[in-house]
Amino acid sequence: MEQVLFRHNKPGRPVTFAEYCAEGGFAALHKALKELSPDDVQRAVIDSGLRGRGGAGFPTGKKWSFVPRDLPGPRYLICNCDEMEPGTYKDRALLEANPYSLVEGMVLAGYAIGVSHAFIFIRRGYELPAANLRHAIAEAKEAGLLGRNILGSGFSMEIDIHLSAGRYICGEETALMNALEGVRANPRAKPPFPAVKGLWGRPTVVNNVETLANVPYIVANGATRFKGLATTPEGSGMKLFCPSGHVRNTVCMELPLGMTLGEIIDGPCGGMLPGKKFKACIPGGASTPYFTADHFNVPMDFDAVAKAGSRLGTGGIVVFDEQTCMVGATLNLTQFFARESCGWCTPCREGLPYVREILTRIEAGGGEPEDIEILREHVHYLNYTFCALAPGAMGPVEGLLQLFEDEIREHITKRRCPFR
Amino acid sequence: MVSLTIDGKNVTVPAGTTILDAAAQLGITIPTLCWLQKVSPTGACRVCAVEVEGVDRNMTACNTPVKEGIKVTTQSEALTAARKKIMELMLVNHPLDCPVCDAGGECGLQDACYELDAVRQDYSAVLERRPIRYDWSLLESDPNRCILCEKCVKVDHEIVGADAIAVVNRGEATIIDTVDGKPLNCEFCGNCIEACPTGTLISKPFKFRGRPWTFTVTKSVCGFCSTGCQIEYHSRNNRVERVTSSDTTYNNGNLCINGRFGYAYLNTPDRLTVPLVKEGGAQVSADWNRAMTGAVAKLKEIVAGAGPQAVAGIGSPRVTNEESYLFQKLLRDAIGTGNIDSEARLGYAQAQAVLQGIFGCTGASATIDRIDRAQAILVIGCDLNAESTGVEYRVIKAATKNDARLVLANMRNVKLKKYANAHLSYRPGAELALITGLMKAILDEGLENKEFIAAATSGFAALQGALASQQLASLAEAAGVSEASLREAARYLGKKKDVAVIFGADVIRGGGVETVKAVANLALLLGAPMAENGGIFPIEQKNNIQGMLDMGVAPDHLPGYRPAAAPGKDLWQIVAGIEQGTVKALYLLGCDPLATFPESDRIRKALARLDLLIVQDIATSELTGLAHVVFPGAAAAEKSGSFTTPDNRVQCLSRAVTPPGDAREDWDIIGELISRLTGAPHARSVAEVTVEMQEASGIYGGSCTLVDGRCSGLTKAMPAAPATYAFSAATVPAAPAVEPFTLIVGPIGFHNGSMSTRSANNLTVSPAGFVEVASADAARLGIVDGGSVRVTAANVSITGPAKVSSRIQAGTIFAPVHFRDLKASSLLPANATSVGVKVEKA
Ligand SMILES: Cc1cc2nc3c(=O)[nH]c(=O)nc-3n(C[C@H](O)[C@H](O)[C@H](O)COP(=O)(O)O)c2cc1C
Ligand code: SF4
Ligand code: SF4
Ligand code: SF4
Ligand code: FES
Repeated sequence: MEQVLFRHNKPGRPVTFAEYCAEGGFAALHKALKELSPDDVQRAVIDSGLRGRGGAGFPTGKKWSFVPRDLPGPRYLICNCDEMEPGTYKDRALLEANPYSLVEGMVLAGYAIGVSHAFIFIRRGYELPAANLRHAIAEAKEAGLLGRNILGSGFSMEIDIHLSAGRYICGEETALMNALEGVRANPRAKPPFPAVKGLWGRPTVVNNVETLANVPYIVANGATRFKGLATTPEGSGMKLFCPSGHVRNTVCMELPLGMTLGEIIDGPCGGMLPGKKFKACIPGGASTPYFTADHFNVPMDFDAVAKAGSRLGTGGIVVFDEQTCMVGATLNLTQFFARESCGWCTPCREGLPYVREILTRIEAGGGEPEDIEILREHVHYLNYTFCALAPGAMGPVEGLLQLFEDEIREHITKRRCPFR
Repeated sequence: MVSLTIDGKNVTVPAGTTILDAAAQLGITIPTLCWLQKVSPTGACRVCAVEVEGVDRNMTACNTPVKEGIKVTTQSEALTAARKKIMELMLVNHPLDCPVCDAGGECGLQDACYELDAVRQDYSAVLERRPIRYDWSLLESDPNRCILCEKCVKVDHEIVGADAIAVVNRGEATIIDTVDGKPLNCEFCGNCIEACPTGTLISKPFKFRGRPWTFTVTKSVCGFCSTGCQIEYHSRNNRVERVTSSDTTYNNGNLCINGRFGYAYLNTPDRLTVPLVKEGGAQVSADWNRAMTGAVAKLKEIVAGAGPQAVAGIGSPRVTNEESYLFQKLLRDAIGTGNIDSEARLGYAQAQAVLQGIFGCTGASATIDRIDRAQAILVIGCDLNAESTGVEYRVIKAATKNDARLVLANMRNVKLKKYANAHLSYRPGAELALITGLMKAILDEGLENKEFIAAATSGFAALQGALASQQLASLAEAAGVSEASLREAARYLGKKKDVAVIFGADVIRGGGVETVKAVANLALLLGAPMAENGGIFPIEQKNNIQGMLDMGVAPDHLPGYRPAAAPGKDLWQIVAGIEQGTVKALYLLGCDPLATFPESDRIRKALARLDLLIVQDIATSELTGLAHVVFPGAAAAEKSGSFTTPDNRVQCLSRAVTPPGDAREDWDIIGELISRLTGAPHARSVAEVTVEMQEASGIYGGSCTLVDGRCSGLTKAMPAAPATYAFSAATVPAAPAVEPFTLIVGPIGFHNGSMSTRSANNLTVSPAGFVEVASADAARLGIVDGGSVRVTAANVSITGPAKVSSRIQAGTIFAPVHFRDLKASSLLPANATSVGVKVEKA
């Protein structure tokens, strides 16, 4: 299977700068700066069908095209490496193995958008990835691939690394910009969208690590080739999946978009742990509604997963076996989200703790039948919040209500958790 | 323009308009809770939910801009349910201690629950209690009641610019607190209290003073600074218990510490409640008849013996126009003397005469709301925060919301610095050099408003010629700033359509007439008087200085600026006259020269020589102790009449309470004296005096009409602008003398005049005078923060606690003017705000 991001991976250690270059790394950058205009690069990314890997799946080229063309003054590129979503570890895996494709991708993106200053916003505690990146940035500068007048093209760009203060909300792109500006990391109202008014009020593009790291391949090999990597006609490219839970292989893996859930679980994931039976999974990180074995034939691609009632999200697949209490699992996730709510808007700030309280009650055997209706109400009303945290937080609750209502009822009628 | 439909009705609005505002144009009200018109939308509460066709989730009307062709629904069952749910969620963690909550009865949360039919609480949870901040001054915060609408934070950050409170913590633990968790340390304007819809942020002095609806609310005008904010007195049992404002006022509901908390001076135990007369060296209480009879007899005796010129009066920028009018009538008509002046002689009167000569107008060339949308603003020689806080709010608004360029020229790092594109920290006394330097830089770079200069001015060539012979480098050096900074400032100010030039005490009192002329020249170069959104604005700390001059409380002009046939003595001539024995009787109306006047030691000695000293004031002081007769007057909350701001807004007061004890309204006291002296009947009401004052001045018109409980005010006719504005001849600035230390005396934001030093509220945050010393100097002189410092000028010394700070340049010392105990201005020569001094550890 062709690998895009993991192509250069070396067992047990990061790829070196020399190896990356020898294996065709930075060829895309040479090509772009010598032969392509910024518009050409942007067009290639649009044509490739690349969609954001940070969770929302927004078409990357389209996002870039929103940056006003001839506004004077600076514009910024931010790479989002906050990766606080439970069940997601792909950016870390990628950067631990290879920081160069991100650096190359960022310079290409910067070239396409006209950025001279880019930032990498990285989760505190991601020490090895940060160290790798610092190293890679220094090497790239040394080699004239970053910094002033890159490869003699006249294009200059700097990359700075910023350590996050460690809040889930900092990963939300507008909260991230506030954090970078040194103010409280609240999300900002949209519109204005970052592409128009972002960091310090300037046009700004925020992309995920994985998104940007795919750009060199697209520029080097063409949009068509990239698109063709997916197994579905509407899909495009490869995707990093990070399985966890009750399956055999819990390492980050790069797979074509469009493989079905069943193929992924039984194939690369190596099936369930011995003696375990599949019950459900989170398909794309903690903020996506559950899938069950009934969804095994859903192609794991943005539209198909959405059509099946969930979201591809970040590709963090968390697998639960038959012994798992789904109320308990949902409570666990809700605790995380309630804690991480920034507190800005009413439904999220007040609603999530309340949902947590209800789930706690049900799990402890003190639930009432009306609680199910209250939960449903919250799934509905918590959609209407200032940012996407609360709707995301309600993903698992929505899945629980849709697929495991019986299990909730069992808790309520038995007045205890049936799994304990 | 964007067209859309709201509830089936079409509306066309400018792009960027929110759905909420577009709906308002159609008369459709969408419920809101966190939205506050005067600040940026927050979008936090989600109560303003509307449906937009084709969008799968509700949108917030308050911060969603309109889009072409969208169809918005503001009323539906689903929306009602959604809004109601929000309210229910809001209440999950709310203590609902309405019976003991100060906001009960005027609570946005109560109102919203009622309006949105959130009458039941389906959700219940264990209440989390968070500690109440009892340790703040003047304000108390009970985070348990907070709905996190962020109105307080936005007002604090966007309007006041104190950046003192913020949203802290996350999730359900989120609260409003100080950034560092320490007790609140801010301007204490209380605008956040006003903005807070709940009982979270409350006024400590008002706490438990009564339920809000049991107070009588009187709409009036603030009696402190010359911004002239519109306020509401809340009184009960003849006591003012709080002051508020409302967002629909001229000042947008924003007040400062003095306006909001300064009212406590009304209730000071020092209030004069009965007339006093001196008998055999001792002061005794007297009834009005006895005090008046005695005063009139003595006045008559002095006039009979030494002529009316032996009598003089000093008026007050604190009293109403009507009272100022009567005061000059008393002296001129009833007694026959032209010896009348006021503290305006410390600079404002002369400055105003200069401006009148050049621009035709009295005071400012435009009203202060024009500052809001100016493109460039120069604030020179003025700490707006202390001299006119409400004007500072407008400058902040212009700089932050409308992107005005701001140049601050101030010897100190005053608050506006943080908004300034350029700060010219000039040497003490170098105002003239600085302004001349700015003009030079503007001309050098060709940044003057050529069109305006050609069309509407005269004398430009002469000014140009005079400036040509000056070197920017030497002007910069004399001013103590860099050439580059002058050029930079010139570029911010130059070539702008709308420029506002704002200048205050350091120019008006310290700089003198030549400096004011230079400011006027600079304003003309920039085309400020022509600007639709700008102008030239003299700033004065005390509220009715303009009205007082309009009324002829000055030796050289009568009401309405008609010249006096025979000018009398001015302030310093009166002092000299007393010293020489030619002035034997002095009437001080609401004026305490011992508290805050320059040369107060000299004045003190002079007063002791008088045969008759009449003091009419509201509180006892060293001065009242010296008086032969003391008339207890009334404070602004206790009287009717009008005040005129320097930007010529004439606003009427409303009486909220009656003066304490036997004290009387000042117009009534003066009116009776006139009547006793002349035999003419005494006016029965202020309204009568108003009419007489309007006729006599010739420039005041209009009549009082109540609009929504507030008097719409009188009008003041402004003379037509001259056909051409004349540039004044340029004065060559001399470099100020180099002093080892220069003391700057001026106001601070926590006080206004000496009146607020009688307010227990203001005193909780600013209890006493201090001497501010730059850290480098302090280290050199062995002075520590809080330690005692002695400052000596000529043969006068003051001693006060040191405040070591980075707000001032090395070599300068600052002392606040307000405090009777510190007597900082006693070190100043007659017309100055700074003086060379010796500084030492005491
Ligand atoms: C609460 C919240 C947390 C998020 N955290 C991350 C994150 O850690 N990393 C990330 O790339 N995107 C995160 N996102 C999504 C970003 O807002 C943004 O959509 C993304 O960085 C855009 O990059 P992409 O277009 O390349 O996907 C988060 C969004 C929300 C609402
Ligand atoms: S949804 Fe939650 S995280 Fe997002 S703004 Fe509202 S309170 Fe903050
Ligand atoms: S303290 Fe008052 S104004 Fe501030 S957020 Fe809370 S409820 Fe709103
Ligand atoms: S003192 Fe001035 S700024 Fe303060 S409230 Fe009164 S008029 Fe307004
Ligand atoms: S009023 Fe619009 S969100 Fe609060």
